[in-house]
Amino acid sequence: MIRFVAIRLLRAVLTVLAVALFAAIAMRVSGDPAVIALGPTAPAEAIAAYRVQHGLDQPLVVQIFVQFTALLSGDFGISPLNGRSALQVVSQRVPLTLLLAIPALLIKVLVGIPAGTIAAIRQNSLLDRLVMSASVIGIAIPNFVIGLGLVLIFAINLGVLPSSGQPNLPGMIMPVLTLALAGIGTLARFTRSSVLGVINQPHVRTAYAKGLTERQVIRRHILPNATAAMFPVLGLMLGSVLAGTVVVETLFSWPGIGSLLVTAVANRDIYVVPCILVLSSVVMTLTNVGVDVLQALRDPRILQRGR
Amino acid sequence: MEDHVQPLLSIDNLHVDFGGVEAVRDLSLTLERGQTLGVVGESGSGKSASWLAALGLIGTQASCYGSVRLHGMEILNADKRVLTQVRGRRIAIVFQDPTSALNPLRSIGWQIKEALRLHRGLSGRPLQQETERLLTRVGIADAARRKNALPHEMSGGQNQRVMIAMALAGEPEILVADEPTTALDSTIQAQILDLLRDIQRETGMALVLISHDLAVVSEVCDQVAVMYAGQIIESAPTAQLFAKPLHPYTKGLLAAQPTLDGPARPMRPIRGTTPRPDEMPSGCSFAPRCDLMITPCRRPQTLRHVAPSRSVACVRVEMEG
Repeated sequence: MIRFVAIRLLRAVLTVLAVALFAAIAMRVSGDPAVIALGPTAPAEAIAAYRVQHGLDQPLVVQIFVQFTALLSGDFGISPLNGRSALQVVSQRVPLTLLLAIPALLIKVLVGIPAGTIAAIRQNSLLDRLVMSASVIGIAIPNFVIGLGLVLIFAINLGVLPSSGQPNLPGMIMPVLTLALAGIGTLARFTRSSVLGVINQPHVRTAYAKGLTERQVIRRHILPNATAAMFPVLGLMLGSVLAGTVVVETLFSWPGIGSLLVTAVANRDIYVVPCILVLSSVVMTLTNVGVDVLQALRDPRILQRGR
Repeated sequence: MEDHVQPLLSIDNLHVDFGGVEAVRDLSLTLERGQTLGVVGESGSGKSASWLAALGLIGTQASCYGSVRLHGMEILNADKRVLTQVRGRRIAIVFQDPTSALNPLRSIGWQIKEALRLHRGLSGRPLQQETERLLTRVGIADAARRKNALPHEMSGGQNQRVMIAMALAGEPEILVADEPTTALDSTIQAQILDLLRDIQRETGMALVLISHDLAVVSEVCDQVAVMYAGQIIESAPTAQLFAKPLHPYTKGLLAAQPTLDGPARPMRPIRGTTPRPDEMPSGCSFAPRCDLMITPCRRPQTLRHVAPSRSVACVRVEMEG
């Protein structure tokens, strides 16, 4: 188990390192920091002075290495847009993004898993086909189309919900729904296939042969085993709470990390963008390690299989 | 009074049909209290399907006709509530591959306790004690510690012992063992068979041992039913079946067995192969492979009593008289 956790952690660290390196390279090659900091109209002498002062006259490799180590030590630099530390700018937006992502995740789990379970247990029934068609539609329609559709219905035609921007309950409803709808479909399909994978296993027949009712078999034998198999998907969903809301936040002008990322990229904010990249990769890798450990605790056979 | 006349379990004219393909055709048999019945046949002969169908465990793709009565109560296609009262409590079943027949994520103790709670309403201290007693009874040493093990931490033989313990939890009247030793090493096989026989004697429950192996069945069972292509073609007390097989298929089966005692003789395989269920001959299903085939064999054969506890489905046997 210790070995298992150590290997997962090592992999997580390597992933974050790779992301940081990529961010450092992207930062340095995507624009001249001096021009970005001082503005395109700044005099040539000022720019030259800035270059020397900030080490921009060093060879590119050295500069990238300096950026890389700075990113790793948590020094993300000062955002030229508002003169505040990039980390501060980003972390201010984190709660707002979580305010969308966490309710959306809860809805995905609370609707997707039961829907997929029922579809699997009543395989090939009308209900199954209904759930599966709805999920395909949910998966196939891009997020922004769902969002626009909701805006059209609830904001423009019915006028019951604000179309954008306010971080309060009515303002949350549409972004959260938009985020949840696509995920419900994915989760329902995953649940259905993992439940089907368990239903036909011999041990489920044993459970019926014991004299358990169908409800007991589902609750005690099918669902727990099926969810154990779904941990990786749930981990991915949990890991993308920070990074998965870009489209929806932009669409509803929600002031979270997603819209910050879009503004930062558009304005070539070479400090905020890497900060978001590194932070979301840390969240993603750590939740995945956590989920892997939970799954191994649930099903110790994983420790024996390939590592 | 009537209870004594009624057999423990009677199967009458059972058919199991998988979308037009009949896995079991017109099967009838009775099982008495404390009887040990062996059911022998090749894979696909319907030997397992008939018992799974009786317990409603065969899945929704199959349709079952006929009658299966337990103490006179119809259980074939019965309501779920009836079946959950029968399964585990009155008829328990032990499956072929014990390691996959146990829930991989639950400890073996948990799985036995589940059955004990369900059928005997035990809880707390008595539940622990009974779990350990059952595990010890089936030959798991150090039960207090081993009950926390997961199935993948046990050997196949140990898992089969756990399955048997779980089956005993409901104190059933009938234990159906469906190829219980096929997935196990031959040394373990003998131990599991001994265990089944001992437990059967101790509890007096009826035992149905399903196997493709005549030798396995003959070690444990008083009566043997031989199945071929979905039908019982011969049923006889074990000793008589070995001494004087009547059906040509049974004769062929015995001739194809290696012998350990007695003079060495070449094993004679039965020529041809089992007919596919979708191209079953209209008459006797064994006729195409039978050396003794004559014109009346083109008509379907049914099981007929020829002596006490002996019946056979072969027209030649009657002619020989």
